[in-house]
Amino acid sequence: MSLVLNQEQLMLQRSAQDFFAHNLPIKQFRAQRDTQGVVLSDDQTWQKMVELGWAAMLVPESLGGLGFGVTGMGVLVIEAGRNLAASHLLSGASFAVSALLSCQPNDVRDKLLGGIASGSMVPCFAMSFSHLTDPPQPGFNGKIDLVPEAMSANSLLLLCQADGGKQLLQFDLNSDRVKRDAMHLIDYRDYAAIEFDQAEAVAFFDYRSTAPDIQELGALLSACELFGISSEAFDRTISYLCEREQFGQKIGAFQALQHRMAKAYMQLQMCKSVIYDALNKMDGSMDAMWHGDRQTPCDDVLIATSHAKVLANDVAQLICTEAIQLHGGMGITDELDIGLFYKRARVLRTRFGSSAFHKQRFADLTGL
Amino acid sequence: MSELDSFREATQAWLQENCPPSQRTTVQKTEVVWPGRNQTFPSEDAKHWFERMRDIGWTCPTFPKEYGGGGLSDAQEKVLREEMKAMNCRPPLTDQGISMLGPALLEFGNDAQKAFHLPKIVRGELRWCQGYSEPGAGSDLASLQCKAELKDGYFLVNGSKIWTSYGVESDWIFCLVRTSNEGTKQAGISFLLIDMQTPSVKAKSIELISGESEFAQVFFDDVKVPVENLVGEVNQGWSVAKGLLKHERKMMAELGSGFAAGNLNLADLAKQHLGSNTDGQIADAATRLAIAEYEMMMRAIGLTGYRSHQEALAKQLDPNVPLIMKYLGTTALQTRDELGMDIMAERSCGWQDDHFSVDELRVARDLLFNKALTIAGGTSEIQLNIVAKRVLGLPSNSSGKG
Repeated sequence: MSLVLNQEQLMLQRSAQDFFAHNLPIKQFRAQRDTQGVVLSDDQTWQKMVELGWAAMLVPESLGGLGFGVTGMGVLVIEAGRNLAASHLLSGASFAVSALLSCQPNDVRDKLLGGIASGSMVPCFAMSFSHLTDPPQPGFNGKIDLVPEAMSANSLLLLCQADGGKQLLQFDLNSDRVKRDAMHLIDYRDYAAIEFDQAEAVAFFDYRSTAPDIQELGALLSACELFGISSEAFDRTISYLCEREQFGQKIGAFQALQHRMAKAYMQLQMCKSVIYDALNKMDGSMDAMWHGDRQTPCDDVLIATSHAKVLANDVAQLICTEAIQLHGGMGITDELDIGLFYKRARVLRTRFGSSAFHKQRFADLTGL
Repeated sequence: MSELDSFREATQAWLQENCPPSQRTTVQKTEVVWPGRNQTFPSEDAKHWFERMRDIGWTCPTFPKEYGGGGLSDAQEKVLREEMKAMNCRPPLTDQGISMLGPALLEFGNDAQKAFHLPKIVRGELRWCQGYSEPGAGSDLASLQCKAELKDGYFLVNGSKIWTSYGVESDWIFCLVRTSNEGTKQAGISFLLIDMQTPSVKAKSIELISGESEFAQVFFDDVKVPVENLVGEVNQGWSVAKGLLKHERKMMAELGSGFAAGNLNLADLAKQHLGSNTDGQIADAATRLAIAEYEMMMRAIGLTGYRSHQEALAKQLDPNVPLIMKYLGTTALQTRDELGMDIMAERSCGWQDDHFSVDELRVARDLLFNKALTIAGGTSEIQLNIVAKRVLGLPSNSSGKG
């Protein structure tokens, strides 16, 4: 078990830090938000990430990917969190890819994975709760909402329950039978409400019953993004405390504030440890599940993931709240970036499970 | 096979052969083997274990062989600790001489002091305690006032020390004393070794809310201490103390990781006292959640200690992370204690007599004693100050207040 990044992962981390600082600085986030009302993944920037191999992080080397695993993706997502970067790393490069890897292998599937790796296919992923007839009717009807990354994607992979088991359907998002409508959330990110009107799936795949649940990957990568957000908000708050003066001194000299930041630092460090542990455990597990060797993730992985989500949720709440509070009047202005961090974290804190949900699951899995 | 691997093999074999099975169990407080002029042992096995480790110098593994120590390198000592841990071997001897004073002498002591004291520490002949805090100098240790006036060939010591662990049971005390009032408060401190059998040294137990007396107050009334007992130069004692701090900090970090392993299993206690539902879960939902939160905290603390350990091995150590362990570990332990008593209710509130079991009688006393842990060895508030200033770089108060 490793709680330390190896040399390759450290290099990836540094390169991600550089990339986001140069290509997706926060002022660009603001500019896009202010002109378009929403921040979508920029096509050119996504293609640069594709060239770096990031779309193919989870795709095994045998299928043309980087095979860097969940830890590699986690490292990227943490840095994306620090920069509030909009991209296709999650819904596309993580969930859509994982879903495809969970299907029975065949040429069509492998071609799609290749398309994602090369950037020609820009996917997003969703789960439908409508039950499909088996075999599926020619036209698919239904509505799903809050699909992340969908407005800027060109393909949707939809996981459905059919009589014979789960099926993964691929839809062309540019088809006129698939209508997308942007949903505007407090984090200004890419969400779509999608309506299917006798839509025809471009491809179908049998989804293995033993495949890993996307919810686990979702919970862990959300935890990673939350950790990145918390780290950046924390650092900016420290800087502010060292600059802002009142009562004849830097406000960071006040012991009450020092103690609050010291406690927040401790929580942040524990969060890092728990996330790294979960990434490590999930890495070992996903590989086995994608290739059919293992039936379900063992309890160890689920416990680690639930713990990571709880701690990341709670640390983000603590630190983002403190960040606003300790910035005083500036903290509640739109001008300051802190509010952007708070709002993004607020959305992620309940996605793929709130703290309440994951605490219960932790209790269930640990025999309490 | 590398040299270290051969050493590991040889160590395993030696431990298997020399550590009695009864010494391969978790040690209870009453069974700890201390050194002393009147050394006693809880059992024959404990005595044999101590003697064998003493004879090979492994009571003090890294002390140089010329003083009777094991002469091991840091890497070898780590191997020894790992193998002992793997076999659950108890420490053969416990003392401040081993962990604090010995390293201080090795770094700052002269040859005569090393030759006199180190072998006695290795052989467990003298028990040491630490004379640092005073009634008027706790967190602000440097403001200590216990005076040592240089006379002809000796220091005349007057004052008192407090919170001296096992002061009553110890043979010698290493003290920070004030030898000058010029310059800064730190610049007037010296490090002095005092034989507690010297006339007019008195140690008095301090009874605690737990009913125990681990701590003592030590009084010095015109005590004559030979100048040979000065460690380092006069007025250079604060440097010695600072040098020792890294050992204390290391100990504290280890303490933080190992804490709360203890005797209370909250889940079992809850099922026993509050019952289980038909799914076998703790019946009381609020308690179940509180225990889940506690266990997550312990898991996070454990993973953080382990991460530091791995970072050190990978030469990526963030030196700031160990500084949080004492605060986290001691706070978590107190959370556990309170939750345990909430679950056990009045059964945990027994003070004495046989209406209560031995285990029940320990619960409240342990909670009450553990209140000391967020205070001793650097209070939690000081730990937060250290993190804020040293780790986070937050500024100092310019008025010197607050």
